[in-house]
Amino acid sequence: MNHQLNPDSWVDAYADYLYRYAISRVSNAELAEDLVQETFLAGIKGLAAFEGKSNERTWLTAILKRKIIDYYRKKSNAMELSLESEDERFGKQGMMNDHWIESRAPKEWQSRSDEMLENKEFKAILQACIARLPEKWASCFILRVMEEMKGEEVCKELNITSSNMWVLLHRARLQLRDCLEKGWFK
Amino acid sequence: MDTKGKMMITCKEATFLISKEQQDKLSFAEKMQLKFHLLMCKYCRRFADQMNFMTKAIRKMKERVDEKGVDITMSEEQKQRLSKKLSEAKK
Repeated sequence: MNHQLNPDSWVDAYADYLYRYAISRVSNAELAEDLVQETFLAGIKGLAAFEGKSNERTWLTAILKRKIIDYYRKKSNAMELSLESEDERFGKQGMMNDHWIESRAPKEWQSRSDEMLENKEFKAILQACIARLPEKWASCFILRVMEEMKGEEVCKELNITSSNMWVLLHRARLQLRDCLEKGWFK
Repeated sequence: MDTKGKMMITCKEATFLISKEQQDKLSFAEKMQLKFHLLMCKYCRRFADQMNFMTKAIRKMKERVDEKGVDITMSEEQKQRLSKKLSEAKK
C-alpha cells in the first residue's frame, strides 16, 4: 500500500499525539511544542523523500524520535561525564563493606499495589520524578528506557562506553526510587 | 561494576545487578551471586521488588502515549501557533 502525505491535516490529526510523545520524553511543555513544530517543518521539507512505505503518523514519529535523540546527544556532549563511585547510600556496616546504611535503606512501600499503576496522582509523581532526574543521567535513561533504543545505539549517540551506560542507568534508577519513596510512599 | 569470581557480593554490587536485570539478562554467575545475596539481605530483596514495580509503572506510563483522550493535549493556542508556522513554511 502506498501512503500519501497531507500536511494540511497534520495539526488536527497528529499534534496531540506527537506532543504527548514528546512531553513524556522531555518533560517540558515548551520544548515539547518546539520539537513538534520542528518535526512538522522537517516533514514539509522532506515531503519529496517520503516513499509511502509507512503511514503518516509513523513517519512523523520517526522524525520526532530523531529530534529527541539529537536533543539529548547535544546535551550529553556538552557536559562532563562524572562517574565517581561515591554513593552515600552504602557504607561499612560491621563486618560488611558497602552495605545499605540503615537510614538510606529502602523503606517498605506500604500502599503498593497494581491498582496504583492506574492512579492519576501516582503517574503524575512518577512523571515528575523522571523530569527531575539530574541531566547527566537523564539522557541515558530516556533513550534506553523511555525510547527503548538498543544499548549499542545509546552508547553511540551519547558517546559513552557500555559500562558507563550501566552505571548511568543504575544511578538514574536509584534516584527515581528515592524520589518515588519520598513523593508517594512516605 | 565487576563482580567476577566472587561468591559474596556487597549491597552496592547487588543493587547494580538488580538494576541491570531490569534491562538485560544477567550471566549465570551474576544470577547466582544475586540469588545468594538476596537470601541473606532483606533490604536488597525489598529493593529488587521495588525496582520490578518501578519498571512496570514506567511501562504502563509509556503505553498511555498511544491512548486517545488522555489528559495531555495541545491547547488551541498552541495549535494555532503551529498551523501558522506551517502555512508560512509551505509558501
